[in-house]
Formats: sequence, structure tokens, C-alpha cells
Amino acid sequence: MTAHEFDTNLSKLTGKLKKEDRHYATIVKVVQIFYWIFIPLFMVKTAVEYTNSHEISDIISGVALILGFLFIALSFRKLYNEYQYVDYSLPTLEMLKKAVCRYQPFQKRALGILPGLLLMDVGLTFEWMGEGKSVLDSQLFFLGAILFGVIIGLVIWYFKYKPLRDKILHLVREIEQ
Amino acid sequence: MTKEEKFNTIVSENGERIRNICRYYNSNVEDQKDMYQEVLVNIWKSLDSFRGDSAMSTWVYRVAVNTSLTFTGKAFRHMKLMVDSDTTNLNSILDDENLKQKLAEEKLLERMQLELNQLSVIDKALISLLLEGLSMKEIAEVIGITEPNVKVKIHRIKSQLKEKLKGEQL
Repeated sequence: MTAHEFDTNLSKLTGKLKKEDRHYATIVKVVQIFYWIFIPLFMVKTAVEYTNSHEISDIISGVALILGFLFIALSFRKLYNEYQYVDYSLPTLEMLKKAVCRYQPFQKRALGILPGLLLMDVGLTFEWMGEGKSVLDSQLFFLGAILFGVIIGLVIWYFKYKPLRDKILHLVREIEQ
Repeated sequence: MTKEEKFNTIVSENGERIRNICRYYNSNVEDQKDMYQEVLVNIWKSLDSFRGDSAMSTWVYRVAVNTSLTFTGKAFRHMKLMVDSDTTNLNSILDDENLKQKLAEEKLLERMQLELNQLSVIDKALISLLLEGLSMKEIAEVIGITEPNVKVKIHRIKSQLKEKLKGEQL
């Protein structure tokens, strides 16, 4: 492979890379649209419902759901940024250790979405209570949905990411030997 | 300087280094090109984190070696280290001029190629950097371990290779 062979493609490649950067910026914008448009809409919905019912539970439910969505949207943006841009310029050992952390099924930073989930649970519970359903029903539904999501995530992790994590762990041990 | 200008400068100044690393890991020209492109993609992605703490060449080698370790996922299973008799720093592996002369004989070079490919992925990465003429300190900076640790590992690899190749001559 000669240097000339690559030079002819350089401008094409930088074009692609800039496009990828724009794609990332678009994703971030979509998330921003979510919480700049969807959240005010939800606030209006909450206000309308409260005006009609005069039930305090409608306000609690609406505010909790809005804050829950906001928390999750912000966490998503942060996590997406971390996953999108892996720093390949780190020393090899450090990069591999970070990769091991990234491919762990349960991570400390994932705890960051817990407040969001709790707020959504509170919002959903109050909304269902307003519809005459019991707390137990909403908890069973919510925890069931979370459990289902976790199981699906673990299955995907086991087949797709665990083999990769094991190989990277092997490399880390080899370097540290 | 824009990101694109910075990127173009790095590529024009370090293109040969990257191409060499790609050659070490791929015998096929198409695979070399693919890996070259992937290294460039990763240079672009990591460009914002370059603070000038290390030499640009060390930074580029890090990206190239790290890419080789993760290259299309196949590297772990099939990664090979390709050398030929023209490889400038070939004698740095063997520390033996006589043996290097004999290596010119195709059969012995093939044997060395075979032995290099028995090495672990990390040992191959160390040897590729040694073949590039990096000092022990620079290799330590790329891999992220201490200089004495690099010396020990490379000494061990060299001893094993010399032993095996001497056995071949008898």
C-alpha cells in the first residue's frame, strides 16, 4: 500500500467522519427536542387534568413523570456520549480497563438512572390510583416491565458483550502479568 | 487550526508509521487498507483528547496499536505479525548479526514468522513497536506499563525466539 493510494481517499474519509460527528450532534438534538417539546406538553396536560379534577394526585403524577423523563433523557445523553467516543489514544492498558468497565452488565454509573425510574414509578402509581387501580397493580406492572428489560439486556449482554469482555480481561491480565 | 486541518497534519506527518503498523498485522493489502482507515477514524474520534502531554508519534502509535487490538473483532483470533527481511529493525529482536544474515535465507525467515505468530497478542504488539524502533520508554508510554516491565517482557520474548531459532539451525 503506497502513501499515494491513501492520499486520494483522504478528503472522502474526512467527509465521512464529519458526517459521523453531525450524526452524533443530531442524536443529541433529538434528545434535546424530547425534553424541550415533550416536557412542556406534558406540563400542559397535567395542568388541564388538574383544572378538570382538582385532584392533587394529578399534579404529583404529572410532575413526577416529567422529572423522571428529564432524568432519563439527560442520563441517556451522557451515556451515549461516553459510548460513542471511545478514546483510542489512551495507553493500551488503560483503554482496555475502561473497555472492561464498559462491557460489564451492571455498572455504577447506571445507578444514575435510578432517580429517574423512581420518579416515573411514583408518577405512574399516582396516575393509576386516579384511575381507581391499586398501588400493587402499578408496582407489579412497573417492576415487571423493569425486570423484563433487565432480562432482555442480560441475554443480549451474555451473547454479544460477555465474550468480548472476557477477551479484553484476558489481555489486561496478560499485560499486568 | 480546525479539527480537519489538525487531522490532515497528523496524517501527513505520521502516515508511514500507521502504514507500518498495519503491515505488521495484515499480509493482505485490502486488510491493510481497512485497518489504516480504521486507525484514521479512531484518530479523528480521539483528536479532541490530544493535549500534547506526550509526543505526537507516541500518541499516534497508541491509537494504531489500540486499533490493532480491536480491529473488526477478528484480531483476537487471527491477529498475525508479518515481518520480512527488509524490516529495518529486525536485528533488534535477535541482537545477533550473524543470525540476522542467516535469516535472509528464506526458510529461516519463514520459521521466524511462524514463531512470531505463536506469540500472544500483547507480545506481538510489543514486538511491532520494537520493530518500529521505539525506545523502551516510548513502548512503556504506548502500552501503559513501566519501563522495567517492558524490558522484562521484551527480554523474555527475545530469549524465547533466539532459543527456538538456534534450535532450528542445529
